[in-house]
Amino acid sequence: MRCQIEGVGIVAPGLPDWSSARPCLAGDSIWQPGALGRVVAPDLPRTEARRATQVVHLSMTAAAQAMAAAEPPDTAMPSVWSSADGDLIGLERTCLALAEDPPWASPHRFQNSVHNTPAGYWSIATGCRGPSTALAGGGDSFVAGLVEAMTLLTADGAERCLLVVYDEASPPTLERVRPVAESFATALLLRADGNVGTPLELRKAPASATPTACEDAGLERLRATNPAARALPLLCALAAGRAQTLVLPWNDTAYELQLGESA
Amino acid sequence: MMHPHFLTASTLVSAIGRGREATLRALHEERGGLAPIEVDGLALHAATVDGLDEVALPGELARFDCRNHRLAEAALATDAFEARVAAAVARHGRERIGVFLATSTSGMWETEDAYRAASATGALAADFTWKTTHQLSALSDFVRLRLGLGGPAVLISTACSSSAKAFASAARYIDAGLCDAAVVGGVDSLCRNTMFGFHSLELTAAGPCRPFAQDRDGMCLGEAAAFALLESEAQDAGDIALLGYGESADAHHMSTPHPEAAGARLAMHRALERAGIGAERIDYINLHGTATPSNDAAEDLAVTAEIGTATPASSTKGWTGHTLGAAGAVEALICTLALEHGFIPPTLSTRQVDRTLRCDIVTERRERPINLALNNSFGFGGNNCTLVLGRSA
Repeated sequence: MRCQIEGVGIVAPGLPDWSSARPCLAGDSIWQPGALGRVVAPDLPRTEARRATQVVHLSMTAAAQAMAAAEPPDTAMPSVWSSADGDLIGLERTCLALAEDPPWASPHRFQNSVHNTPAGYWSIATGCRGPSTALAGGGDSFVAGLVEAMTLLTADGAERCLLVVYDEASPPTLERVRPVAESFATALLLRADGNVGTPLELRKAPASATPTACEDAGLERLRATNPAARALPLLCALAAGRAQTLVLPWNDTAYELQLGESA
Repeated sequence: MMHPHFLTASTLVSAIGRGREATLRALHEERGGLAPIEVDGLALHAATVDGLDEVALPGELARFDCRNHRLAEAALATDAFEARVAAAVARHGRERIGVFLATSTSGMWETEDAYRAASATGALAADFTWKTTHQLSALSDFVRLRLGLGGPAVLISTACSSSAKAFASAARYIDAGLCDAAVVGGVDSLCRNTMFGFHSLELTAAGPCRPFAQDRDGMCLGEAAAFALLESEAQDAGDIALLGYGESADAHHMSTPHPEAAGARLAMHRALERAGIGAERIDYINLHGTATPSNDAAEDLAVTAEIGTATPASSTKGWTGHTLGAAGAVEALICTLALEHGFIPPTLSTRQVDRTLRCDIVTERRERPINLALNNSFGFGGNNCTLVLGRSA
């Protein structure tokens, strides 16, 4: 399967947006993580922005960066939202309320507890009525989301597809069972064909192929711990404008991503 | 127009029965699965599956043990599903069979238990597992390991449209050449989050739910597992096929349907278009029909606009409860039973249909041949999916 990468977004500690992250991802500067701070999605109306949890802001901010390349705005395109664990801060609050005597639930928190909450808010904010899929693939959620998005172009004939991949840092109670210390979100605006952006070809790789790592030790640690950060080798190659073949594992198999020269 | 994808094997376990035969019998004998339950002081009507505590996960898959996976195991062990998948492995090879499953709450019951225990000790118990019970992909991991499959494995979680969308994803993967066959389905089990959550939104019924009824007052939860094996070639002359799917977003509100049902209409329109079938050819509509006043009214608008008022329609949520992420697959399989055996299941518990609604709501079982069925699934976040199933021409 082939497509073109037309737009890119990223939100992570020390990597607040694609243009400021580029030098670091290209290897021209060292990654300085620091604290991510509160992220506020640019597209959300004020009421929704107040109600939305941090994971919604995180993913929608990455989405907005990638979508800046889509001119004119496309309100029929499909989107794919992939995250291993979704809204953990919301989950923890839900579980704590249900552990009280008597147990209780907040109606707002409950309606926002579904895995497709960011996808729902994004469609409300942008008016996009295209097919919207929220999925999970554990540690391989990036490649699972990418393949899903590429099938929407290949099998359904969509011209464009937005892919958003995100996972947030664990709240303290969950740190032991799910050791993810830093939040990470990325978004790719994919296009079926055309002369814009960077060509990407995906094919099956031998299961024995070695997964591509990041050269920078700090970014490599981020890649190895946050499922969404498995996108980093691809983002580093894109930032450097480098044609490269990358290997991404998926369960007991692997896929090869061949990134070409930008148009 | 898309290629048909045949359901060459299927199985389901819900409160009305374990397996296709038991489900068919319950539908014939008008035996619903809803009953009063009480959990931590909250009294509701729900459709629970008995005997799950006795289900053991085999061998080293015991690490996946939780109510949701016991429910999945109960279904995999029914209707010779495992043997049918093994035969498909022999036909295609394990790496050419993908897994496309859905859940909305995964192992939430056990996570709720862990947090309760932690409120005394301050930390989650050392034996609390995350990756194999709570994490959404635990279900797709369990099923792919249980069936020995090596193709792509995807877990879709878009609330109540999840497992309908799993069919759409599987069809795309097969059409894109990424696999030759797919195990598709959904599993969701009861937990406090959904019981207290729907109750807090004032969406739960006081008694058994009554979809499309004049006096409907909300939904009832259920739990179920449903699986199908999807292949491009039929294995039996009678195999029912997935003929079309349509997906959309409302772009309106997180938990309230669009007032003109714009998203629902779009999903139905796209499904019929992809199937290459005129709306007048649909013989039966299995409605999303949750029995909340606003959901049913919006769906009625969508159905009358896209299909008309003459097509028999029913909601089977009065039988199985609303099984959330499993609902799309459960109802697709009820459609296959209706197609194979030539009947329309009634909307159980609905006596007086709402006079302001215009769909032809079936309240008494009808015996008649059915060639094409349409199944609606709509979820929170304004996420919609419609499937068209039937005999391939």
